[in-house]
Amino acid sequence: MKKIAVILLVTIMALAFVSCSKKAETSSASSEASVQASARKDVEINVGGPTGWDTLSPFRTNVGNNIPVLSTIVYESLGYLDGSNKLVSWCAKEWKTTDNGVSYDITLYDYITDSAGNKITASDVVWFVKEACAKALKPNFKYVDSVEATGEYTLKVKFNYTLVGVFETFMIDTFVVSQAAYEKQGDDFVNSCVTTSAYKCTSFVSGATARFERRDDYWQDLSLLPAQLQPNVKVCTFHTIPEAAQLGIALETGVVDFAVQFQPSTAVQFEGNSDFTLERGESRNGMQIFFSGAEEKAVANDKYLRQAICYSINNALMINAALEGYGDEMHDSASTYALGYQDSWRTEEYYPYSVEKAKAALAKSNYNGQELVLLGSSNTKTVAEIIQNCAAAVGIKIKLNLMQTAMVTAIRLDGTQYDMFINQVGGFTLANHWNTRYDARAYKSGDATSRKDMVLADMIAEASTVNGFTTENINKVHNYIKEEAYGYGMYQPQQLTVWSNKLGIKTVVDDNIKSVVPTACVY
Amino acid sequence: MLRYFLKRLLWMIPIILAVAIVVFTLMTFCPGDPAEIILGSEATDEALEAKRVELGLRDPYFVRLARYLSDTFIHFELGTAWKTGIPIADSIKERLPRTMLLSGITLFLSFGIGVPLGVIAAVNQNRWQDSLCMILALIGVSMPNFWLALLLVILFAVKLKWLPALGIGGVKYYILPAISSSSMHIASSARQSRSSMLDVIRSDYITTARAKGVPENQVITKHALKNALIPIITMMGTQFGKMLGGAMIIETIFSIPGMGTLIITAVNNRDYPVVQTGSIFLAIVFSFSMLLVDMLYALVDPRIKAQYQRKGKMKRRAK
Amino acid sequence: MIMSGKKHKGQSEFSRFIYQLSKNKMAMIGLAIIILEVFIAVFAPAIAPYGYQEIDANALRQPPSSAHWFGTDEIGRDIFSRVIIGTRYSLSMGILATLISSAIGIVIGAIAGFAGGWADNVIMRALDVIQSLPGMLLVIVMSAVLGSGYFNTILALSVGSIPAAARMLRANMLRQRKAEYIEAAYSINCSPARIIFKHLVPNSISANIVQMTMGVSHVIVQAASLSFIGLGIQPPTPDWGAMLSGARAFIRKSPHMVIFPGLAIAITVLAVNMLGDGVRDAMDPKLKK
Repeated sequence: MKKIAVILLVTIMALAFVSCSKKAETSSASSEASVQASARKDVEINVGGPTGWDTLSPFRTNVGNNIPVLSTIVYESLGYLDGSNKLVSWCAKEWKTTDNGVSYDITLYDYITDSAGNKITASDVVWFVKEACAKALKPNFKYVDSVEATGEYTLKVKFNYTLVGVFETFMIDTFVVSQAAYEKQGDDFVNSCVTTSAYKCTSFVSGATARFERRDDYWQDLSLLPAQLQPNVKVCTFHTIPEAAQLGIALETGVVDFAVQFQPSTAVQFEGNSDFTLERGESRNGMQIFFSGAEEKAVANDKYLRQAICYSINNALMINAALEGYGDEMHDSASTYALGYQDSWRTEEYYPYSVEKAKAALAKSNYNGQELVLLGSSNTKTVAEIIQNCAAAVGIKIKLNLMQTAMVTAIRLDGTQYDMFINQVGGFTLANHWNTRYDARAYKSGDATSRKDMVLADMIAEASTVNGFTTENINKVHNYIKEEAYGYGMYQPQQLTVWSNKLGIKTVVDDNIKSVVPTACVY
Repeated sequence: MLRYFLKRLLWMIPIILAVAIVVFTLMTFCPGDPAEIILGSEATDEALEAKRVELGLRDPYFVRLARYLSDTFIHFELGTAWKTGIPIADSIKERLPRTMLLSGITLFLSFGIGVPLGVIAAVNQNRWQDSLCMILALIGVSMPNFWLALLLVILFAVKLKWLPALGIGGVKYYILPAISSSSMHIASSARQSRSSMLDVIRSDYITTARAKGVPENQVITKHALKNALIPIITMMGTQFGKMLGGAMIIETIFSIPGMGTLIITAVNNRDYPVVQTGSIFLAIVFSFSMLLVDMLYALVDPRIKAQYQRKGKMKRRAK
Repeated sequence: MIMSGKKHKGQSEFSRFIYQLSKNKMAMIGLAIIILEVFIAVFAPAIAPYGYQEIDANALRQPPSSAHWFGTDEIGRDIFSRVIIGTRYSLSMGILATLISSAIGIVIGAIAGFAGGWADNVIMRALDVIQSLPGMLLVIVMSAVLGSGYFNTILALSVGSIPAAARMLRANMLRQRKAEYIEAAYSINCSPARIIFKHLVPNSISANIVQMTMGVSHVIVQAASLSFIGLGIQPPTPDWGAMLSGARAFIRKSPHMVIFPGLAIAITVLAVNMLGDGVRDAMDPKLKK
């Protein structure tokens, strides 16, 4: 009798297997209600993504600052990086520097108002910058030395380090918020905010949905805005759907029209489906492995061991396994998005997968069979297992230490706790990337893996300033790091977006990573 | 009985206090640096240290404990989450009702489906009804709950379009999540009920009742079931407790921001205030439900009621 | 037990119990399945056709085929081999953790249920406090304080289920304490320990047995989440719970990755339940034929 239980169980699971493996179906009766015929003004869209904003506070960390829709329609910044990654004007009309980037004079538009009618002046911006510096949530604000209003609509900001990209990041990180409105509401804009954006947030449920409606009294002349900031939809609702399969289902059933930052495991179902368009953008982060620089570690002083590991990694397998093929091989530990990335690198040989070369390098190294520890977080399990397997194939023993993020952050700067560390890092510019990872002066114990290579630190310092950021210096740093194999870029994921063709998009508008901006498309 | 009830209510105060202190202490033993989790990997050493001082992490343990206890219990200032800055009172106000609704429906399904299944199985022991009920029950506990959840979504939301696939709103948004999370509990209920009924069904008083000509369904419901309820009620209480704190997988799959996600995410982010305060609220709800369970014992079994009313240990009678 | 049935002269309680159990066909099948699984666990490397780490880069997420009976996982490893080898860890952790949590819970519940009054109250309230703590928090701290390792993992897994077991036993004890046979035992001068462990516990334990059998699957799945706090099984060593949760993202396109570990867990749970029912029935004095 209970044998029947097993048989029934198998049958049920088999039936489920069959029903599950059907491809994403078109639901013909999908929510037409959510996509109305597009007169330019009255389009309503639903966008779904795996992460959203927990609060609407203007003072935020970098987490969630690249989520499509939320990053452009909640708050307006001083400037915006357009489709060709150039800083263009948004709330700041113009800016100039007379001392080579140490300080900037910024002029705001003199007719900026927010949804409550408050007029924005330079003092609002100065207040915001000072608050942001004090809270230190976005790391770029640590480079602001001083900021002061020089007129009703002009301000001067001085930086303490002319790092490449500091000014651009400053312009993007500085939100334009009326100090009066913020202090009047008094709750840090947690659940509702008053902003200068063309969209007003009409409803916000933390961790679930955020609804935005275009307002009629927007202050700016639309012809002065770049294509990506055009408010072409009337209502946009953002849904936070963390479960990959559910995001796919939401797209299938029409609950959302766009799936942004789509997980590859589910996005692949929509490939080749004529009712949907799948777009591959460029990711800002890559997936890298960094070697410990702590003195006692075998990998720290053994260049050939590091190179052997780099050669042994089967990047194509990783891209297929972890990303269903939606990824590219890298040519530097920084992603192609980083400012300063040289085109010449794309054709260079960068530790391609080669068991022979790996074994040759291993022979030259001092590796004597000991077990190396690979540190990673719980969401890099697939990658870590592949590295372990590939290294074993050339004779290197690796033990995995995968932990939850909090425990990883506790030890990731301490190179004595691991031999290798998997991470996903980006960086707006190469200088950011180097400074965070390879600059021996960055932390008390050395660089991000406790390495104290002062030669490299000096090279980085020279190349990171606005004047020093030349092709020659950039290549110097790139070649040094590549030769030493301190860090290795394994693959760069593609940012996937899928949308329903029922939207009838006439012109797709992409941002600087070739990823669609749902609110700016022409419908 | 009223004395017992009041005594138990009074006991809740030291329990809540104990939970607050224990959770606080446990969090201090957790490896991981909250400052770094908040500020991210690019923060300077000075910024991290400043943050730690701001969060009070550099103060000695007893100072922090005293401050926390006085803020929470004397001033009722629950503070804000370290990671997101959201006031904790707001988060709990929004999320606790959702979790309670979900747990309530799940418990209702567990009791309403599981117990009858178990009773039918027990009454027909070793016959086909027994096997069928037990098979149905075992499917629930053998199938991983995320698997069942997604199957239900595909069937009811995609193909039949009767229910929404995810999100929050009215009661209908909680039906599929409740069914998914109840499958395991239905199995437990069914098996416990069956076992418990079997314990009771062969007692002398049942035989007597049958001999007296009491109709069979009355025998089952009025006599047997009532006496079999003790383990069933115990299990319900424990289940409810578990549901309150930990339905993270179901909440993630159905995009329901509830207490499970709040607390487990906060533990992973070492967000001390959220974990501490969240645990206190759950402790309050859980204590109430345990009190309810113990009161139900007394209602169902007069022998237990008598024990509550008597003071002190059971006395040795014989010498 | 006091109200036992026919007893052969000189036969011990235990052998009577074994005899009763062996007559239960379902329980024997359950036992057989468990013994089979233990056998598989012991001889796993010999039985598995592929190594549990062996990757076939050209066969990622393949459905079942003649080369790979259960298909392959997301990095091309043979699922059949991994399920076979995973038996070692999942089975042992599942059963051991459940047994330990139940044993500790039964002792605590017995003390509370028997003592009654003040001691009962204190113990139960202490359990209230433990059950209110977020489970993950307790486990993280245990891992930080005790360190990792097999036995510490089992301890961490069992901690969560102790209060429930204690409550269940205590509840049944409360019922049984007042029964006439207990009064009779007192009247013939039985010591409290004897009363608790020879009379009360065996009569109160049937609910705990059912609870135990249901707990096994929960423990197996929970073990997966422990690896990320330094406890449990580190990848690439296979364990059913980790295979199950790892396959969640692929559930629509490659459901075989979920089905087979799920089936392994289901069959184990079924076997444990059948055996558990048999044990329960064999211990139940009212079922003597």
